[in-house]
Amino acid sequence: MMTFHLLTTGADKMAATDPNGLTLTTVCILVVFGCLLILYGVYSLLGAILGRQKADTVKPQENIAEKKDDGTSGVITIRTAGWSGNAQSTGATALSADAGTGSETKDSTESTRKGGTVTSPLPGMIIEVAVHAGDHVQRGQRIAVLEAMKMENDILSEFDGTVTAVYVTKGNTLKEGDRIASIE
Amino acid sequence: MENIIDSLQQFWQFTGFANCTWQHLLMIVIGIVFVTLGIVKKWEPMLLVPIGFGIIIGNIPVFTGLQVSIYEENSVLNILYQGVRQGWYPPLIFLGIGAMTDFSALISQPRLILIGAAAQLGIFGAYLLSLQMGFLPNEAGAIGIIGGADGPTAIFLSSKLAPELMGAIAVCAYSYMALVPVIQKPIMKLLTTKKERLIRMNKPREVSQREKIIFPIIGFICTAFIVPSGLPLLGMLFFGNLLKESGVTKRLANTAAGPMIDVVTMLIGLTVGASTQADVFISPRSILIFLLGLISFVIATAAGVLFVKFMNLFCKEGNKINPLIGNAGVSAVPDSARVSEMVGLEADPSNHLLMHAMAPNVAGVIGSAVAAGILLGFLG
Repeated sequence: MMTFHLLTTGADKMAATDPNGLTLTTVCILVVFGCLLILYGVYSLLGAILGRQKADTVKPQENIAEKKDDGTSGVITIRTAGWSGNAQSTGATALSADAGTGSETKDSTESTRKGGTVTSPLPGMIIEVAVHAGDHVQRGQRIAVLEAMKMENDILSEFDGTVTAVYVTKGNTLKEGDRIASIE
Repeated sequence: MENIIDSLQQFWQFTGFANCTWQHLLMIVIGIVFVTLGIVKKWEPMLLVPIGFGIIIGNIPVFTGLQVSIYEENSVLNILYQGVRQGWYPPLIFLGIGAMTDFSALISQPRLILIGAAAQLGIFGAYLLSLQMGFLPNEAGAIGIIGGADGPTAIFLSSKLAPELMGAIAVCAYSYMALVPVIQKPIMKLLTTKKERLIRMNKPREVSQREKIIFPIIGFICTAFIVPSGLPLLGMLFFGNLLKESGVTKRLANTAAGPMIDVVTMLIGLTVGASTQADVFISPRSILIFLLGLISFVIATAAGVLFVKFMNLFCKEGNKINPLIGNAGVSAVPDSARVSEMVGLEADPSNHLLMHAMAPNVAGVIGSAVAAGILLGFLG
């Protein structure tokens, strides 16, 4: 068998039998893919047996926005229920309305229509809280800073309004979808 | 009086000044450059500072017979070097890496494992190119593993296949890992359309603790049966992960991910640097190695992105994968996942890809260890 032959060959002999390295490369690629494919199969099976329910599927019409190119920011408008805003032309990061549906314990998309709950798009640690209850905020204003994978992510408000509640303090560890603040 | 002068002359013979050549000086300068890159530019400082300083240590001119050089048996440096030469430092680092890695992103979306496989094409692309450029198969294999973007794996494989090239390979690997944002971003933008960059991925499901415990056990058994020559790396990686997830070995996991990995990191960096000698490092072959290393990163990134696009052909609408996480198969954890996040946010400021990108990122660690194992099996 060719594979066995390769395995018993030293590198210098290999140069003679497989000068371009193509045989070895092909076999190696097949092995790597095969190995990881097997892992994929095993973990899918594991997930099917042991895992919990899948999270909600993103519906296709929410996936790709109607691109509103206002020329200043190039930022895409995401059209989802209850939110039609653009991010600020500073190009600032806006919080996904999807994140409002984030946690699996919230079971309806109604939570985006209630409006005003800023949730965490990533698991991480709050390293700064920029607002207090009672503060008036504008769309695009920074509410908090979340550290994830050693990256600092600004959490911005997607609403104008008044902060009615702040649920986190500096040092809190959050999961994806955890509440940060409510804005009315 | 004459005795004093004689003694002083003898003493002079022992000093570095008497034994110095321009090659020594150049290597010391190179060592200083890497230390500077680590401190000032923050290029993988935890590795480049020890490696850089190790280069300085290893290239201080010494009078042979003093028993201090790294290649003189039973010197301190030589004893510390055995962890590299015999290949047991990298597995210990993998133990720590396993103990600090969260595989839940991968467990919840197993199909993303395949991206980790695709990115390893960078290794084999570089292997083929190296052969064309005149390197021997064992050297080509060691150079190719740079594309795995995994420091311990690169050091492990090159210590076994081509120890004289290990220094160049190690600094190359860590330098390019630091440059991942610079290298990957243009490739990702070139190979993806605007529409593809906007793809939103389904929120991954929650992963139970039981799954997180079974993952390393089953993962190790599967991979080790297929590629037994990867046993040291894979075994340690999954063992470390089990220590982390079992819930009953927290102390061990914390030590592995903390003090232990730090100790080994210092020693591996220092001794890899100290083993890098002028006659091998200052040669046209080193320039070729650096070039091939860069090419392997480029191929790996492109392969990951293109493979995602290929996978999307088989995915239903609403269940597609954003190709911007394809680069994360290059297992510079978490740097390439961060690049996915950054480029994703540029396209859509509310589309956070970081946690999705972590899945191929950690899969790439497994993939590069498997690739190293198979290369060792054939070329070792």
